Parts: sequence; C-alpha cells; structure tokens
Amino acid sequence: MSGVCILLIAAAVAFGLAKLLRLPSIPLLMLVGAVLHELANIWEVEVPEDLLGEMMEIGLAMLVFTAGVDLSPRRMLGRTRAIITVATVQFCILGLAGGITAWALGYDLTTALYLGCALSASSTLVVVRHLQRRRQMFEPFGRLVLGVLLVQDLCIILIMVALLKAPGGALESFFAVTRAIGLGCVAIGIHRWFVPWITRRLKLDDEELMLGALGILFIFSGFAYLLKLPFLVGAFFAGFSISAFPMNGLVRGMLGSLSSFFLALFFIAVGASLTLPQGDMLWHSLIFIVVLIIVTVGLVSTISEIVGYSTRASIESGLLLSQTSEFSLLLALSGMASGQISSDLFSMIAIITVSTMTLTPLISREKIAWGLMKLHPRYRRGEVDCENLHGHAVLLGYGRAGRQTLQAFKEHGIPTIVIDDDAAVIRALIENGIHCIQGEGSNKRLLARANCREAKVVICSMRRTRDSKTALDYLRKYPTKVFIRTFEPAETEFVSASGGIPIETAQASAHTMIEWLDVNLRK
Amino acid sequence: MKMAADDYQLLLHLGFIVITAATFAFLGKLIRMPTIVGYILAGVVLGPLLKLIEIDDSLDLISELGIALLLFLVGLELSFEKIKDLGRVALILGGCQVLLTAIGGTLVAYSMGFGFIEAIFLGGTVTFSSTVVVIKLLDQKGVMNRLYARISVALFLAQDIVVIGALTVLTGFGGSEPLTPMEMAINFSQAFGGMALLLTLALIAARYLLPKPFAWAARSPDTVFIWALCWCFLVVMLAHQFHLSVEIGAFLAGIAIAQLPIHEDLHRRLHPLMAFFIAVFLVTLGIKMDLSSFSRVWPAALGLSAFVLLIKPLIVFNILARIRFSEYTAFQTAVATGQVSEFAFILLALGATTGLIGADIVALGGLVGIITIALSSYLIIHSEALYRLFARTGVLRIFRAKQEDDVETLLHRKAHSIVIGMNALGREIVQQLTERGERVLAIDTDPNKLEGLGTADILIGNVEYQSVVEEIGLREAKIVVSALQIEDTNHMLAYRCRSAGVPCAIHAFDVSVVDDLLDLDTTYLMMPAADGVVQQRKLMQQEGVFER
Repeated sequence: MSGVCILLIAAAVAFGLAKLLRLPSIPLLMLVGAVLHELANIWEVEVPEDLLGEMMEIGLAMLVFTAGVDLSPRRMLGRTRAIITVATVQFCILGLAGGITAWALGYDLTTALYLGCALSASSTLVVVRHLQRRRQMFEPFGRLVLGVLLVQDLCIILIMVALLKAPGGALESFFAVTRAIGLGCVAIGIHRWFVPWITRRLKLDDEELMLGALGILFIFSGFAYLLKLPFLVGAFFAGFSISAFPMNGLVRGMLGSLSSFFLALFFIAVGASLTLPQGDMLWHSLIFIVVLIIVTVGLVSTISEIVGYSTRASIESGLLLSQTSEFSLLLALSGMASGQISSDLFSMIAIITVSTMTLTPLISREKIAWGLMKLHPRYRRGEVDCENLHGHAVLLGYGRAGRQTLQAFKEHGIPTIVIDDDAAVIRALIENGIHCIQGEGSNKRLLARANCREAKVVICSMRRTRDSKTALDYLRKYPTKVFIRTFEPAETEFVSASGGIPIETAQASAHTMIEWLDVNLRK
Repeated sequence: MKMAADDYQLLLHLGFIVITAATFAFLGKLIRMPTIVGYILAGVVLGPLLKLIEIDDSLDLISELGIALLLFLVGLELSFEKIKDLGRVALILGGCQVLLTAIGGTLVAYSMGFGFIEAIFLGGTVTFSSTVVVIKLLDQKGVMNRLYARISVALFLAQDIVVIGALTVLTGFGGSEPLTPMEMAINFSQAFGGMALLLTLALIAARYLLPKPFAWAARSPDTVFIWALCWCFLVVMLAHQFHLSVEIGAFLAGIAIAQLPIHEDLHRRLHPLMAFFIAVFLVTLGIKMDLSSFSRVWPAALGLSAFVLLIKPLIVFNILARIRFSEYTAFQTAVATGQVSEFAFILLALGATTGLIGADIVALGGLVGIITIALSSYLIIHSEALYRLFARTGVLRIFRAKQEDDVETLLHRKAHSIVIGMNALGREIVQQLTERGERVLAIDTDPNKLEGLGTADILIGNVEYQSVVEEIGLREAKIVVSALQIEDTNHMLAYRCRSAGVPCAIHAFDVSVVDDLLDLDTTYLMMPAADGVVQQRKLMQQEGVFER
C-alpha cells in the first residue's frame, strides 16, 4: 500500500505541475517518475520493482485499450481518402526520415528501423486531450487528425508485430502480421454487429458495462496470447471493437476513471525505469526531435492543403501531430524486452517522446500557426479594383457564416470584399470571382486597401473579438457601420463600449430556441 | 522490468477474475441474483473448484485498495451536519448492538456444544456486519443518501472501532512475541489517540488545507481526481501508523473532502474505480473459501447463520425502535446488518494462529460468511418489498416503533428543464427559462460557471456518467438542453433522450455535427452561427444597411 501511496504522491505532484505550467501531464509524470527513481538511489531506498512492473502491465493494457476506444472510424466518414493520404504519407516519409537520420548517425539497421518506426506515429493521448481542451474535436482538422491517428496506430501495431517476430525470419513476421490482421477482422465484426446488437438487447448498468468492456479487453488479450502475438495487439483491437457509438459513450465514463488512475501510475513507472542517456545519445535525441518537428509540420501542412483543407487547418494539423506516440514507447519497451534494442536506446526514445509531448502545447499555439501562415505564398488576384469600391461591404474574416453573409449582400446588390488570412480560403474566393485580400483583418494597411472608410458596412467574424478593435478605431469618425459577431457577454460589452454593433449569436440562438419551445412544447 | 509474456501473472489473474465475474454477473441478471453473490460464486469457481488462481500480494493489494476507496466514497457523502446527527446513533446503536449480539452469539454457540473460548470467537464472528458488502448493495440500490443507509454506515464504523480493539487484544495475546499489558495499553492509546488525531486532521484539512488547492484545480478533472486519491491514501498510511484500519483512515479522508463543493462530482469519478477494485475483492473472497471442511460444519453453520439473519436484525430493529426511529428506517437498517463481516475471517484467522481455536472453527466462520452474505444480499436488494410484506401482516407493531416517517429530504425532480453546459448560450437559456417560471436544473463540471444563476437548481457533474443521468431525473424532464461544444457528450445525450422519449435541444456548433445529431432524432438543433446570420440580417435592416 505504501508503494501505491508514493506513486500517487508523485502523480499528484506531476498533475499539479502540469496544471501550473499548462503542459500535458504525460511528460511530467515521466519526469517525476525519473526524479523519484533518482531520489530512491540517493537515499538508498529499495525501489519496489514488482509494483512498478505490475503497474506497467495494467497501464499498458489500459493505455492501448482506451486508445482503441477513442478511435471510432465513424469520425473518418466522408474524409477517408484525405485521411489515408495524409496518414500514409506522414507515416512513410517520417519513418524514412527517422531511419535515414539514424543510419547517418551510425546506428545499425535494426536500431534504425526501430527509431524510424518510433518517430513515425503521433500521440493519440496527447492529441485527443489537446483537441478536447480546445474544443476542436469537431473541427475539420480535428477529424482529420483523429483519422490520421487511427491509421497510424494500426500501422504501428502491425509493424510492432513484424519487428518482434523479425528474428524468426520474414515468413514468421508475415504470418504474425496475418494473424494480427485476422484478430483485427474479428474486432471489426464485433464492432459492426455484436456490440450494436448487445446495446439494443440488454440494458446494462454502469458496473456491468465496465465489467463487460474489461471482459472484452481480457478476452482479446487472451486470444492475442494464444495467437503468439503481443497482448497489446489484443488490447488495441478490444478497444476498437467497442468504439462504435453508443457503446463507446456508454463505457467512456466508467473506463475514464480506471484509465486515469492506471495511466498516471504507468507513466510514473515508465519514468522510474528510465536511465539518462549519456553524451552522443543526448545530441542524437535533439537531432531526432528537430527532424521530427520540421518534417511533420512541413509534410502534413502541405499534404493536408493539397487534399482540400484550409491553410490554417493544415498548419494546425501539422503542429498538432509533431510528437512521437505512446505507442513508440510500447514499441521500444517490446524491442528492449526482446533484446533487439538496448536500454539506452529505449531511454533515448522515451526522452524524444517526453520532449515532443511537452513541446506540443507550446508549438501548437495559435500564435505559431498564424506566424507560419504568413510564410505561405500570397494570392493577389482578388485585390484588383478593391480600392475603387464605394458603398460596399467588407467582411473581416470569412468565418462559418461567410457564405450566407455574401449571399445576403449579393441579394441586396452590395459589392463585397473579404479580408482573410487563410490562403486556401482566398484561393477559393478568387475562383468564385469574389473580391478578397489575403491578410489579417486587424491590419490597418489592408483596411485601407479595402477602402473601408468608404464602405457601407464592415462585418467582423474574426476568431478573437479583440482583433476588431483596430477596425473600430480606424472607422471611429466615419459613417461606416461596424457589426461584430460575439458569443460571450464580455465580448458584447467590449464591442458596445468600443462603438461597434454586436451580433449576439448566443442570445439569438437562445431566443430562437425558446420561441420553438413555446410553440412546440409549452403544453 | 517485467515484459516477457510469462511474467504477466497479475494480468492473467485479473483476466480470469474479470471474465468470470462478468459471466456470473450477466448470468445472475437473468435470475435476479445480486452481483455481489455472482462475484463470490465466480471466486469459488476460480479458486476452490478449478484452482486457477491463488491469492498473491498483488491481488491482496487490489482488494485493500478497493476497501479503502469504498470507505472513502462513504466519507465523501457525509457533511459535518450529517455526522453530528449520526454520532449519537453510532454510540448508542453500536454499543448496544455489539454487546447484545456478542453475548447472544456466544450463548448460541455454547449451547451448540462448542467450548467457551470457541463460543466467544463465534460470538465475535456473528457480531460484526460487512461494511463492504452492505455499502456496495445500498449503493447499487441508489439509496446511499437515505437515512437508514447513513445509520447503517454509522453502525458499521462503530463496529470497526470495536474490531480494532479486539484485534489489538488478540495480537497482544498471540503474536510471535506476546505483548505485556503495558504494551497493549500503549497500543490501545495509540489507536484511539490516532483516531482523535486523524479526526482533528480531517477537520482542519476540510476547513483550511484542502479548499484552496481543490478550487484552483477544479477545472482540471484529472488533477482533482489524482489529488483526491493521493489525499485518501496519505491519510490511510497515517492511520496505519496508529494501528488503525484502512477503512477508518479512508473514511476520515473522505469526510474531509466531503466538505468541498466538488465532492459529488468526485464521488462519481471515483465510483468506477472503486467498483472495479471491489469486484476483485469480492471474487478473492470466494477464492479464499475452503470448501473441504464445509461438509463437517454445515449444521452449526446453519444455526449460526439463522442467528445472523434473524436475531441480529431483530436486536438492531429493537434498539432503533427504542431510540425513536420510524418502523421503516429501523426495518431497513436491521435488514442491512444480517451478515457477517470480512473482519470476522481475520479475527478467526488470528484466533487460529494463536492456537485458541482450531481450523474447523475458521471453516465454520467461512461457511457462515458465504451463507449470510449471499442471503442478505437478496434481502437487502428486495428490502422494500420485504418491508411492505411485513408491514401488511402487522407483525412489526409488537416492537412499537414510530409509525410516522422520519424527516428526510428526498429530491425528486419532475417536469423540469435540464440545461447542460454553462457557456454563454447555456447561461442565456437558463436565464430565459427561469424568467418564464420554469423549473430549471443547470449542470456543469466547473463550479465557478454555476454561480449567479438565480433561482435555477445547480449540479456539478459530468453527464457522461449514468449516475448523473439518474440523479438529474432525465427520464422525467420536460426538455434537455445541451449548450456543450463537446460532440461525443452531445451524441450520448441525444441517444439517452431518444431512449427515454424526452425532447432535447442540442448545440450544433458546426455543420459537420448536424447529420449525426439528426440521425439520433435530436428534437431541436441550436445553431448559433445560423441564428447569428438571421440576427445580423435583422440588425442590418434596423440600421438601414438593407432595405426592408
């Protein structure tokens, strides 16, 4: 009990630090675990290896299982081609870049393969939590990223099987992968037919759902064991098999607590088992981190835009995917356990994982995405004649309601100019023959270029309401009316105080809903 | 580091336990068997029958974690006011019940032909009830907020204190080095002084130590969750230093957190973890059963089981009736006491170690445990029907218990409007609904967002949990409104509303979520972006931008 207590104290410290520093908890849990191990060495306290080992066992199973539950293929609907293109290109090119870098740094072929694979996948846990925190799961790029993660996780699971069986020859690897695919097919069958049937037929309470879900985890893990596959393969497919709606939603609450507990202890245990790599390996870690970030951001941004996503969404996808996965750790753990890689290499992969996961919230900030958007080539064709317009409308930010707003102005015969910083949006507007200027709506030079002072109306739909302050100041003494979309009451107050006319979307929506309620449900 | 497949011993054990427990729970559902009985039977199959699992330190640790969490959750439901109410009851009921049952049990055992020392041990065995089993069942029934559930908890904790005393004495008699009376006195004072110290610590922590950090972390559920667990096990470790049980430490830790506004949400988050660990604990109880001696001891087991199932509840019923609790409360509490505690097994094991009793007495205690836990599970689950049956016959009146119901505030929500997610949209809807005189329940996971909502009821919680869905009375709501921008939660809400036939209005914050919500038969989609366009058009007409 005291061992668990110490692990929990360490986890509590890590979570506190994560909240304080606004960093993901996983790297901090591992760091605190490493510190705990060092303290135990200094004070010559015996580390409870058995407890750490057991926490890693259960934690591994929960980690892979919950990753599977989170990755419902339904999210990929309508975007399958784009997702598979982005995922495949990123996985292959990044893996290749990692492998070549490792080879250039003097590692042997097996180690280079492990490093390449470890670098090629991104972290489902970090990305999903990041998207949830920023309420971006539903956004097109959020769905793209989740789809990419599902494909990558599948790839890395199969590669892990192949690599582990590699010492037995290519044929053994092939048969092992075939068996894993077979188990995957069983999971698809359960996902499509059995789980929906059981959800319809049985009304299970929370506890029965949890036991049922965990039962499936252990049954799949057992099958994986019988098929001579790593039990993690079974755990992942078990999670996938219950990822169909509504089962995934029904079990999420119950499994959430279990996974929070075991994952916290798991990452502390992983941290405690790390040894600090010496000399060259630290430099190598740094090189791999740089390669990973540059290749991922560049590659994913480019491919995503090619398959039809906006520039901003593409860049955000690239930034968000630029870390290694918890599956990289599993791969390294399995490689180390089978004797294919050294404990130093495992520690190096762990350090790359910790570092890139820690960097994720820092490099996926809006500021960085905007900075990178400025590096995108500009399209100027839409700017022709903008300065000569009078009595027109200017849209600062195309936003979600851009199409309807343009339509409304068109109906009233009011010419319109759109100012937006997204190159892909501008490209689409140019194709539709709409006046547009690429850049930020808070830039006075662009406001002048759109001849805002001669405009009849300016509508701001920019992401941050405070960006509209420039436009309000710029047009303060002019008759142009400035409408600004707001959601929160504080934004409305700010707009009114600054002389703009707020379009209170939340209030409008609430009002419409109450009207509907009056008509349909009042009785 | 253990990574080879052969080393996954704990996972293998857990796999067997979970799969067998799930199978028995599902089969049990068909014949309305309480899950607790299913778990113990699963353990009997895995242990004594198939010999697939032997209990090791890891499974013991998981069981201990489960017990700690269970009591922590019990503590989490007790505000200081509730504790004040129950202190007197615990003292009177606990004192009288333990004394009378122990004497009665000893006499019964003695009359069955057991020796005096053996009879004392068996008397002790039948005296204590199982905190874990009863709380698990009451929780399963969803009655933990009822008065009789709180009285039961108070009684069991009073029993725990007596058990600690008994264990201290026994350890003193029969450890590897028997204690002198002076050492025993020191142990006693350590235990009771420790309890006083922990109680003081809980009070100070509840008032000064915990509120600020937990308020700071309130918006980070994972942080609050881990901090609460950390607090629980810290206090448990501290209790251990004073030779106090895991139960008492965890219970006091729970009481300290119960005074914080987030205690209800925390309770829901911890519940699944506890349910898992307790399931493992109950299966291990079954695994530990020694069936080989049962054939020799069954007649005595039946006699003692009858005492536990009939006489012990009668004693409790009588005491409660005399201290003016209603017939209903006294009956329900009495039914809850009709089994022996897992502590009894420890007590008997210690007795056997010291040589005071033989192995047959330990086996007898085990069999009484199986019989009474199994039967009382049915009785507790069906206690309402049982009460109606007894009340109809009028047999309970001979105890002259109060016929009027005890004063209990039971919240039953009906025909109310539920609004989930207190962002600008949610708050606006709450405001507009309350202005129209609707009964509104506002829900959010962040306590800060629930401030300043006027006459609306508020609840801190996450609607992803079934327990929250039950608590908010979703099935009897007039309408459920979700202003959340969390797609998965909105899908689940739409699904639950469709299943319950309750209309729902869901925030469709993006075009990409509309199709799925329509597939789920969402009654109304709130689309601020589109509503904003309509509003924009109106404003432009007002301002003369568009001609009318």
